[in-house]
Amino acid sequence: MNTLFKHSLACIALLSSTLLAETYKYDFTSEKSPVQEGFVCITEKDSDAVKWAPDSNVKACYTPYSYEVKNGIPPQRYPIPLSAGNVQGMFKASFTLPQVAPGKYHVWALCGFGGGQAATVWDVSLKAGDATDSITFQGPHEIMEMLLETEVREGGLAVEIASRGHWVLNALVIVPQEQWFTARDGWFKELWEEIFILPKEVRKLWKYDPRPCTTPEPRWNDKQKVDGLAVYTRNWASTIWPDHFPLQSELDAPVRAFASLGESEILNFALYALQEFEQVSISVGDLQGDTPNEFIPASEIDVRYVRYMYVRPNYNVLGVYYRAPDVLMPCRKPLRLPKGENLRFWLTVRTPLYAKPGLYKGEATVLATTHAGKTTTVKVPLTFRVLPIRLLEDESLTFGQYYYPPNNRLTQTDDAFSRAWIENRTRREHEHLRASRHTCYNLTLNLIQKNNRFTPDFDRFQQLIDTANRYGIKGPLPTGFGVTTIYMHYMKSPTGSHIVNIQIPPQEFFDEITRVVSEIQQEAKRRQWPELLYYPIDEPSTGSIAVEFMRRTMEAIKKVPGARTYVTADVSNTSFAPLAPFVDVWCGQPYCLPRETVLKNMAERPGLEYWAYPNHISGENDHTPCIGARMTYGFGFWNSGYRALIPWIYGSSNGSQWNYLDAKTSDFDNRVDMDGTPIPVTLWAAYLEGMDDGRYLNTLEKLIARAKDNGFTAEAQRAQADIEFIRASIKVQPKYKFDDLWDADTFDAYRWLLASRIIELQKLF
Amino acid sequence: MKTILPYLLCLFSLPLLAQFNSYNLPKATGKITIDGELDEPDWKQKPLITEFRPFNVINSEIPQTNVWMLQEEEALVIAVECMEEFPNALVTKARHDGSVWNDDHIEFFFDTAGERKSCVQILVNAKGVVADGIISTPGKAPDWKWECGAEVQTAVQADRWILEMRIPFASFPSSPLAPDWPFHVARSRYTMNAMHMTALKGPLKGFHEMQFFDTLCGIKCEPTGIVVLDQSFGPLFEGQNQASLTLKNENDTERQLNITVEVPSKDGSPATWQQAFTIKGGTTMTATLNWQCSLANEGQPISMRLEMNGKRLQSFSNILKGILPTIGNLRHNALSFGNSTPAIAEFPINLHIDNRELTMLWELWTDDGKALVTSGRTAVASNQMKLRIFQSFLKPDIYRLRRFLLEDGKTIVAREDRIALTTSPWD
Repeated sequence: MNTLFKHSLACIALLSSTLLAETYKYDFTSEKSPVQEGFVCITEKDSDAVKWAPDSNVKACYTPYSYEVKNGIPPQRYPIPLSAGNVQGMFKASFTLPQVAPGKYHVWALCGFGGGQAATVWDVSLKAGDATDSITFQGPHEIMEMLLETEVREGGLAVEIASRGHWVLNALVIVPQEQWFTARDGWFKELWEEIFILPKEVRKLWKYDPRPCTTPEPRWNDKQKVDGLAVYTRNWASTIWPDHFPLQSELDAPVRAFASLGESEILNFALYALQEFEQVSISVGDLQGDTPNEFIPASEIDVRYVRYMYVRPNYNVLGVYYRAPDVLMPCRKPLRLPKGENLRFWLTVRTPLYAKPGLYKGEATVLATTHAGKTTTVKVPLTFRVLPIRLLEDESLTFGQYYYPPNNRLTQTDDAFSRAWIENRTRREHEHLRASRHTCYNLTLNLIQKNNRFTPDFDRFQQLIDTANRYGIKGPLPTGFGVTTIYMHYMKSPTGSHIVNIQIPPQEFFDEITRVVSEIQQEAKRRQWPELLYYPIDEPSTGSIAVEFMRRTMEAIKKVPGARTYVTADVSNTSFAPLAPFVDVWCGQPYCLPRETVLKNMAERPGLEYWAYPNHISGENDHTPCIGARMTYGFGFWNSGYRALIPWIYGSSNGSQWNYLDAKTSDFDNRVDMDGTPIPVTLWAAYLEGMDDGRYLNTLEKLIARAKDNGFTAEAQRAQADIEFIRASIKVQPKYKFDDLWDADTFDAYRWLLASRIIELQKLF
Repeated sequence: MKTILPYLLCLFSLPLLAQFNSYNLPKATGKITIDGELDEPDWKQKPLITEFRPFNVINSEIPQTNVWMLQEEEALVIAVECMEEFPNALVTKARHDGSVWNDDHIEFFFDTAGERKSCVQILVNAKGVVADGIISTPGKAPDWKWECGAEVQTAVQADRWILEMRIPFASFPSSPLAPDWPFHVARSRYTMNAMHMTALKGPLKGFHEMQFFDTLCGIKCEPTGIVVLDQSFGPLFEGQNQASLTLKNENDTERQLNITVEVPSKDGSPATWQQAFTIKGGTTMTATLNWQCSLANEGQPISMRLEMNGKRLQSFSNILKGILPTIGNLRHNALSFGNSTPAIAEFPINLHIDNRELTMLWELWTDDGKALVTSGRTAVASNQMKLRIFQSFLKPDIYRLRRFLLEDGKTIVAREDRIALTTSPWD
């Protein structure tokens, strides 16, 4: 009885403390702007709710907004009252929230939609009590969050903001620790989705169209049931949708891969949650070889997880969305894993160049902790075979990207930190391109009008060439050179999108094109630039006037000795036939000409090349065709006879780079981390794997040639038979995407066939 | 102050900003002959649509386009007059279901369910070549396997090209058809500069944006009380297939119905299968019909007709694509084996195997077909087969795998594939 009484008192005390504890919601905004319902307004001025430190130089801002679609163009961002207003400043500020009672809290901070220039970089380090966190991001439309756990003492919550440049703060929500989970999964979730997905008024106009799961629920074993977690393996190129079941055969299947010396290779596995986990973390140890001295250090294993994004079915479609796997996020903080959802880990092993060939073993350790604090530890064995092969490149092929270096916008920034950050981002992206064996991107050489004539801005262009040279962008470089500017000068009217409004200009226009190209060619030779491909107009239309304009423009370029032309047009469309004598590089959708035609045409006219921009697998209209991307970049490319792949685009971002539903067109391909480092997506990984397939093919082809030259005819014939066997297995099609493709595992089966034959032929020498 | 009403108003003003038109679909007053000549009295009436606007060009003059639409008892009839200054330069290169959008063409979008969630798209070029498909979800590409069954005729004259077309109501996918259809008519011209034109007034970004479609009103298809809930030709197996049709009879009394499936046979004449059945009043039922197909039918059309008292209620047309061979394709044809692990050939059996005693006999031959290396036999217990090829003296090489599907000891189908065998990377 006495014990019961004590327990009751304890319960009452706990209950009353819970009931008494208050959640504090602050909306930082300007004085006369709307305030989020239920939030206390904080401006740059002191009030009962806030006391700013005297040296805080703070500006309160609010940008009116509308969700209206104007002329078919939706807004770049979808603010709500909480995110539309902010306080901002430079370098530092601090304040106290005196009303926050002592206790332990979760502090959620919202920072973004700061406005200003596209090149402005926002950098916010927040110290709330003793807890700190920081975020950095670029542009006026980005918005991010921080979550800190802190303890507040008497006198309220002291907050310090530090920044290397501009900082911005929209909101603070301070929730008593014991109420956090309830709030997070309740009212706060609704608010969060309004900010980071779409406002509910807009969202209800969108149709959620998730991919249906057709896989039956597997039979879970006792361990999986006890752990509340199932580990499974699926080929990295096969999609794992967020809430689909694994196949029975995938559960506890081995996680293994093979790689050549110096090659990066993917190991991956996924978790399916049978219960809710608050925190899931992963650590990966060394991969141990046969002897203690032989190992691949854990530092050579890049550990990421696949982030699900809300995506549109096509980059320019509005109103339909679903969740799709896309971004390969670094594993920095523990992740939440809701019941019935998947979490895919993506490990990339960078095989050391001088690793000893053989079998290596290791394990990944996953720690999964529930809300109640129960932690499950799962060890996932990893097997990795290093092959005694050094892959060769086909140096005649080109891999490029449509790419616009971020430092093009350096002049638009007003602070040193933004400029330094963007310079760093430019460096990181170029390093990424180089590491991905890309040697080409598009450039623009602007024209300056001086003394009634057009002069190329060579010094500005030299900066672009310098950057390209520094990172192995050796070309050839498709280069625009102001043809529409010259057209405007002569015709006094715009060409229209894809020159749909074009009229044939006088001969003087074409003479000017020849003169400008001649000047560029001479200067390029003087300055020892890589080869420029003259790229007058992007994707000209098929109308007869447009084609005639293009024909005469290309003809004008070709009058300059050594100048080669580049056109983005469908070579198989007979409307473009008049261009053929003047086009050196046809770049269009893959692979619209048959291999035989490609090889025959190129053999008949030296200098003629066929390139492709495989936008169908670049994320433009689907984030998941990894198998199609691998085929397009590997076996399909090899079999096509085409000479280059240059998709649009390295990274496309409109509005927030983490919100694919805002703005007119969706975001896709590489993202940007807080320090400017690129964050790849699964499709990018598929490009690289396809390129590696090509390297296995090329290595074997070169070995076959060597074997033949050295009299090993029978061995060469056997190896050639393997290659022809693979070629015969390709279901040739212009666009490899989803249909009629090999099974994801088949690529590795063929790669292993090639590797086995490479190893066999290597033994001859 | 903190109200969100202004923002809500902004949001809901979105569709109000656009101008939407409704058109009543008149009935045909006389017989229309689809011959590319607009000489019937109905075509002498005022066109239903005459105002198009440029879609992708600015301040551009566009040629006149006139569109007439009529309803007959069982069909939608359309005539279009596309004025053209350069008829000799008309671009007409596409084949059926090909890239007609790159030709001089007129295109129609009809949402026959009236829900702005899906629609059919029908493009016709100046030569009368049709591309027809179903857009089942906004933003997704059309499924070009759908066939509208239209009767089409075009004619090119000195200053225009003309389209005359009849589309049976029964061909449209919705059942029943809505009385009012969101729709869109667009035209593209390639004789000079590429020019796209739309009859819509809304803020269009692409021709498929159903939220901006106009409405075609008053489609008066006589209700039959028979509603199609689901239709399938089956999984397209080589050999026997089972088509199905799930129907609801909303009438009080039973109805006698007939299903016919038609596929071209080897000599080009149609092979047909029929099934008569009765559906009670107020009930739902699924009718099935067995039909045959061969791999040679790949790419050919297939159709299913639902008829009552000799009158066609609905038809479904499709292109046979992806016919599954009875002995399915190997998942991989490069297989590896180890010292103690067999090479495993995985493939599906595309056949209804229920209550059948089937056996798979397999043989591994050298690539030149001269020597049998090893063989095996296994019962077919499911539609997914795994053949375990194990031989202690097996060498990495290319082989021929022959598979025979036996029933009662007799081969019902056989298949040969080349496979490559390698040693396993994991031994």
